[in-house]
Amino acid sequence: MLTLDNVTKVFRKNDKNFVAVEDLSFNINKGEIFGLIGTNGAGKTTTMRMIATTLKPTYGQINVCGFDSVKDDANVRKCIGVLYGGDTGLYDRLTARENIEYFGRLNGLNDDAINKQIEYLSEVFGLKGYLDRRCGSFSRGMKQKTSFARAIIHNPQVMLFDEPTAGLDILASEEVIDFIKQCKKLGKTILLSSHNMQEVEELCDRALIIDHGKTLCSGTLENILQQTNTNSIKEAFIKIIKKD
Amino acid sequence: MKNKFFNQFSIVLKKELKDAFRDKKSIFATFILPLILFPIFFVIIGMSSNSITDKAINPKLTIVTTGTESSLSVNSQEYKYFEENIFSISDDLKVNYVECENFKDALINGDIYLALIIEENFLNNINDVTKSVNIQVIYDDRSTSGNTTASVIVEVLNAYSDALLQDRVEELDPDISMTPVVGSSLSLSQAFDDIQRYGTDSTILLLIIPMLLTMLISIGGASIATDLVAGEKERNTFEPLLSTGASRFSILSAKYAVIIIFSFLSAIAEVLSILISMLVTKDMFATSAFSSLYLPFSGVILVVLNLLMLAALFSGLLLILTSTSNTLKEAQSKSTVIMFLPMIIAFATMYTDVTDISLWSMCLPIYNVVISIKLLLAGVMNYAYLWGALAINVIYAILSVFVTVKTFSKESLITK
Repeated sequence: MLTLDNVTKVFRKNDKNFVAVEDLSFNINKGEIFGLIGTNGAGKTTTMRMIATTLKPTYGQINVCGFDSVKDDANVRKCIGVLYGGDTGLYDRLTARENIEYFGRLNGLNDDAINKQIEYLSEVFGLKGYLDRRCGSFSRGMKQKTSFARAIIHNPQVMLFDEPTAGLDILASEEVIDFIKQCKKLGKTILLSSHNMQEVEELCDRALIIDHGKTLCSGTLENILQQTNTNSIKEAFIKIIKKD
Repeated sequence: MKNKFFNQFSIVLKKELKDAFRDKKSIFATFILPLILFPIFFVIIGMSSNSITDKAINPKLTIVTTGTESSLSVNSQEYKYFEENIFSISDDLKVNYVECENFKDALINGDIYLALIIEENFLNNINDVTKSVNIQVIYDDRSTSGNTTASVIVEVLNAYSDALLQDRVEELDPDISMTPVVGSSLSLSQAFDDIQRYGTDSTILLLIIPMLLTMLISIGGASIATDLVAGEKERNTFEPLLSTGASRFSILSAKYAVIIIFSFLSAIAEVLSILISMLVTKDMFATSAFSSLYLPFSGVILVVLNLLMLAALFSGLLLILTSTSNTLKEAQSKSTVIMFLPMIIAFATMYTDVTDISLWSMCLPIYNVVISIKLLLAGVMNYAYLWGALAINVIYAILSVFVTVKTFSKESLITK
């Protein structure tokens, strides 16, 4: 469903080359949750951006739902839903409903489909009482949930989540985690980038540890624990990063 | 494919307009400010002007004799002569006579607007037909009241001199004409009612409208432009937007259109503002300036197209600036620089005579648009210039669009 084949991304800044991602390869099957783990600046966001087609790989190929990310970028964007990390971005002067509708329309949904999806997602994320309020007045948690709903309004086959529970309280985080699990059951392909190792352990089938653009370790979570002779992903991650 | 583009374009356009019209800051800068600026400006100017006129017809002055510094008494023969014979020439003039010990200090301190310096034997000389009497009007050239009052008093003195001369000549021979040559100037429209001309006779409109329309069409959308990309980047909404099914070109085109729409709305608000000013301050404008405005349709279309091309050029420039900025503040700083360009060029054309324009000037952006509007308003239908300017402006607009599309497709758009 999602394949990265020897992907490298080089940025040129001040006449110097900077390799953000080097020779990265992995694939994610339908119905699988894949964790992308790394410290800040490891290359996770650049990888997400390349899959989301906002950046082009310098070398290598990315294939999403059978479409090439460079040659067929419009079709790739149609079958992905992206939730970017950091401070969640919403249009403050628009209501939650208008924010979600906007992305639904841009992803080609008609009014009926949008209304059904909003109904469903507002139920899942507890947004019902907030749909017609302007987002400028929302708490960080409510903004994150609205962003989540907006990112997947078009029911994409592939979902890219960058720190999906950042800024959420325990209850809201649980709602998001349960939703991700539900998506997996529905056969969605999910790439999850997270600093929260507990979350990775709970959700991911396989994971890849990346540092300074290079792949340090990848495989099922059991494989990673065996390779590093550790009892948790957190320990394994620290051991691998320090060793590097 | 075309349908898909227009569909995405209209979705982004609708959202951007909805978002923009909910932004009180942008609405104030784009519509409210241009709308209220001129009425307030002209009311204040009108109030100052009335105050100056009031001071000019009620001048505070004193009279001193040559070589002295203190005023003549209000009871002196000389003052009485002025009051009864000279100041009474004008029905409106009401002199406030001020006695002071040092007229120079009084002028500097603003206690008086002017001092009249007369000769010691003024009364004898003024009644002597063989002599010429010299009266000096001293005023403070840093004072607006002094400047205005001095010219009013000099006019009164000249009128009294003419009247005195007329009396003396009539005594000699009543048939002698006192005005053997009378010069007067009349504009074409004042002289002949039956002449049908395009444009307007209002000098103020000819000066203000071309300048303001061009400036606002160029930079009227600046406030909204900074928010459209840099603002989205700052709020982290830009990258999610680029990751949707919409193409970058449709997103860019919609943002382009929003800036052009806001530029035109801003310019329309300014024209309305001038119209309101004309109604509010009737004395300052020829009230018939708009009612007598008669413009040829083809000329109007050419000017509107020129304005549209200028809007396209500047919308592109503003989009390039906002796209290469990561924060609103950075975008605002960059657009401030670009805002000076149309202002300087538009002001430079303020006194350009439209009947004598070099054709090469049609190559200069902004300048050629100001001149095009001036030509239309003045009724000088120089179609070669209007078409030439349009062709040049189309080229500039295409270049601007090309560079904007290039900038918008760069990866640096999202990487800081």
